[in-house]
Amino acid sequence: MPKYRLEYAKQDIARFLSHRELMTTLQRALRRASFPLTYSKGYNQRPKFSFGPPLGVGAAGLREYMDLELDEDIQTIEDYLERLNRQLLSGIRAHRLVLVPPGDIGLGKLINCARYLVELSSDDYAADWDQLFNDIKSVESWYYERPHDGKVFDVSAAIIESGCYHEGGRFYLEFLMKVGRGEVPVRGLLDLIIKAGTKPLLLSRLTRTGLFRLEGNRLIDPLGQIEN
Amino acid sequence: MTIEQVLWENILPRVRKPARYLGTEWNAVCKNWDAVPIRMVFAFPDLYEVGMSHLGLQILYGLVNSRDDFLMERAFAPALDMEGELRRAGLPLFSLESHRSLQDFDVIGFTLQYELTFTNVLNMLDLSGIPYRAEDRHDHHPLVIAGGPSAFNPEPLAPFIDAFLIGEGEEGVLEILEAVGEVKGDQPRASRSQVLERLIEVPGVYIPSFYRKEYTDDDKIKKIVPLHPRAPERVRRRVLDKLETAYFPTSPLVPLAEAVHERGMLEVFRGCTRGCRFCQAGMIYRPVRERSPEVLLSQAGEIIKNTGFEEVSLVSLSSLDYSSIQDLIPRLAGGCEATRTGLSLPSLRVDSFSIETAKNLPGRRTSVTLAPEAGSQRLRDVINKGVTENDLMDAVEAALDAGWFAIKLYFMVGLPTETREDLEGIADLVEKVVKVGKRYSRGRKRPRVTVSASSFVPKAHTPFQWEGQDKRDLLKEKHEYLRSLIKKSKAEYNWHNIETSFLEACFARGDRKMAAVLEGAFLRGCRFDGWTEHFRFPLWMESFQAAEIDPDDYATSRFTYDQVLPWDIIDSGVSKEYLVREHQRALAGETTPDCRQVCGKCGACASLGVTTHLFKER
Repeated sequence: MPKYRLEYAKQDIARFLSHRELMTTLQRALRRASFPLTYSKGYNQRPKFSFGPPLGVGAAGLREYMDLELDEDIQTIEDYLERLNRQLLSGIRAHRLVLVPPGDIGLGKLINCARYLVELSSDDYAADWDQLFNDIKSVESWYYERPHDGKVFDVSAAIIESGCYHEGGRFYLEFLMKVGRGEVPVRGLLDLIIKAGTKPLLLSRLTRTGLFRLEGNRLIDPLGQIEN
Repeated sequence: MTIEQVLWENILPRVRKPARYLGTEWNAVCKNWDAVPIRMVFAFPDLYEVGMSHLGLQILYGLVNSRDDFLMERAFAPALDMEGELRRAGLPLFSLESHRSLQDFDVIGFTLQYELTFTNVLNMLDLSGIPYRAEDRHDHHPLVIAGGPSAFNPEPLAPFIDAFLIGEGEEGVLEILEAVGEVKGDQPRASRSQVLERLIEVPGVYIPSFYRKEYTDDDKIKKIVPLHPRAPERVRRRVLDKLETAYFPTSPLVPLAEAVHERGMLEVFRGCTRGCRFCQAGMIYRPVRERSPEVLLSQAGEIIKNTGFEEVSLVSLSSLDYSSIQDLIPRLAGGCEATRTGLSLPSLRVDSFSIETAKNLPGRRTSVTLAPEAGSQRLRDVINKGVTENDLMDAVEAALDAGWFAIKLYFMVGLPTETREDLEGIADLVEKVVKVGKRYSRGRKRPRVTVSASSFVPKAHTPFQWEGQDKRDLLKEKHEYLRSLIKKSKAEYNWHNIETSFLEACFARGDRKMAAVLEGAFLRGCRFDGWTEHFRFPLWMESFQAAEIDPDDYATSRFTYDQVLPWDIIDSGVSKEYLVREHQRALAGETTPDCRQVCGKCGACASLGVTTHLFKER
C-alpha cells in the first residue's frame, strides 16, 4: 500500500491539544475528507498511521509529521490537501503531502533532532537578555530530574546548537536538540532557562519549528528537503 | 485583557486537559452574538467529558441553533484546578463558543442527569457571579431553568431554579425562548418576573416560587398550595408525539478532549415498555416511540460523514427491543463496514438473541455486560425484570461461544423484600457463570467475570417510590457478605460507594428542606459529589446537622400511599393508581407483562395524548 507523509502545523489555540487528542482530531478529519485510508485487520480496525515525536500540551509545532497508508495512490495531491484543510480545526493546518519512497525507514528512525524556539518577554526577564543567553551557554552540564519518576537527564548534552535573537521587544532562544538517542524532556530545557534567571516558564512559550535528520552537517527534513 | 486573552496566556497553560475549554470542536456553532436576539447557554453540571457524551445536549444544541433568532452555547462544570484559576484571576465561568460570562445570556439551562451534580449547579451560578438563590437575583439576571430526569423531583433545587421544564425538551425549550423573546423585545434583557408570568402558559413548566407547601404537625407534607392564580394544580410532563419526524442532530459536536463516549449516537426509540419497577427512566419516558429503519439509516450515514466518528451506537433504554432490529442491523452494519465504522449496542438484554445480534456487529469486542439485577427468580419477579436463570446462562454461553472473553454482571443490593437467600442467589449465579467460563479457558487463561453491585435507590414516579432505602450499616453488611461469597468463585467484585447512593436517595426523595443541606454542602466546599475522589461525606453530614435534618428521614423512611409526596406536583402521565397497583404486585411477587403485549393501563398514553409507536408489530 502506498504511504504518504503529511506535514502539518499545530499552533494558536490548537497548541492546547494533547498528542492523543491531536491524533484523534487528525484521524477524524482524514475520515471526513474521504482519504482512502488503509485499516488494520481484526475486530478493532484502525487506520495505519504513524506519528513523529509527540509534542506536549501547550507547545506549538510548525512542521510536524505523520505517515498514513492509503489503499490507493492519490493523483490530485493538492486537491486532497485542500479537502483535508477544510475539515481541520482552527490552529491545525496541513501544509504538504508527499508519497513516501520505497525503503523509507519511517519517522521514528528518520528524525534525530528538533528545533525549538522559546519566547520570552520583558515580564519574564527584565535584565540583560544577552547575558541570560551567555549564562545558559556557559553551563557545562545541566541535570534535570523528571518529577514523576525521578529519572535524571543531562540537558546540556542534548543541545546540539543554540542561538538567540531579539524582535519587537521579545527575546527568542533557539535550540537544536537531540531526538531519539540522547533525547531529554523538553521541560528540562525550560528548567535550564528558569534556573538561569527567569520566572517559571510554561510550555506554551515553546514552539517546535522543525523536525530533522542530522547527517554530517546537513539538516534534512522528513520530506527530504535540505534545510539552510 | 478579554476573557480569551487571559485564558490563552495565563490559564490554559496551567490547567489539566485544557482542550476541555477551547470550544473549537468540529460542528460547534459560533454565531454572531449581536445578530441574534435570544441567547441561551446549556449548562452541564459535570465535566466536559461527561457532558459531551450526553445526547440531550447534542439534540437541544442543534435544534436551538437551527433557529436564526436563537443561539445556544455550552458551559460545563470546570474541573477543580480550573475553578481555582478562574477564582484567582477573578474571571467568571464562561461559555465555550464565545467565551462570555454566563451572565451575558438571557437563559441559563441546566440539565439534571444525576442528583450528585447539584452542588455543581450552585457552583456554576456562583462562579458566574449570579446569586444562586432565586430570591436574591434581580429582575435583570438571566432566567435560570432546569430539566432532565432529576427534575422529576425538583424540590431540593426549588429555591435555586426559576423554572423547571418537565419531560422532553425539544418543544418546551423553543417555547420558553419564544416567551423570553416576546418579553425582551428591544430591551437589553427580559424582566425575569415578566418572563415567569408568561411561562405559566407553557405546558410542562413548573415555577417553584408560585407554590408553597403546608406541613402537618409531624412534619409531613399536608398539601402543595399554588400561590399564583394561574399556576396549574399539577405540571404535566412534555412528550413528543412522534420521534420519526422530530429533529435529530446529524452534525453533532465532536469532542476535543476525550469524552466518556466517543461515538455517533443514533436514537432508535424513546421510552421502554419492560416495566422494571425500580427504573425511573422506564416510567418517565413512556410510551415507546420508534424511528423507522429508513430514517435511522439515513441519519447514521449523515453522522458518519459529518463527524468522522469511528463508531456509531444505537442509543435507547433497550435497543434490542426495537421492533425492526433484525431488519435494521444488517443494513446498518453494511453501511458501517463500507466506511470502516464500528457499530455498538450499549445495553444488551439478558438473552442469547442479544448476543447473536451483537456478534454480527462490526467493531470492537471488549466485554459483554448483562444486568440480571437480582440473584433469585423471586426477587427478579418482584422487580419485574422478566429474566430467568436460563436466559442468563444462555446469554453467557452464547457470548463465550462468539469469542468474548470478559463478562460483566450488574446487580442491585438492597431491593425491596430482599433476603439473605437473594444475596446468596447472586453468588450462586456468579459461580455458575464462572463455571461455564472455565470450559472456554484458553490455556491457563480463563474468561474474566466481573460483578458490579450498586445499592438500590428508590426513585420518584416509580412503583418503588414509597419504599425506603436500606440503612447504610445494613447495606454495608450486605455488600460485605456478598463480596465474601463471590470471592470464593474468583470473580471480581466491585460495589458502588454506599454513601453516594445514600445521598442520591436523600435528594431523589427529598423536599424543599433539602435545599438548605445542599447550600451548606456547597459552602463547605463540596463539588463533583458523584466522583469518588471528590466526594466528602463528612461535610455532607455536617450540613445535615446544621440544617437540623436527619438524612434517614429522607433516604430510609417509607412513605404511605395516602401521604403527599414532595414530587406530587409533577404529573409524569403514569397514574398513581398504576404505581400503587404495581407496588402491590411487586410485594406479592407478581410480574406484569411488557406493555407491547398487554396494555398495563399505566395511563401515560391516555393522559399525554400519545400512543406507542412501533414500526413492526411483533
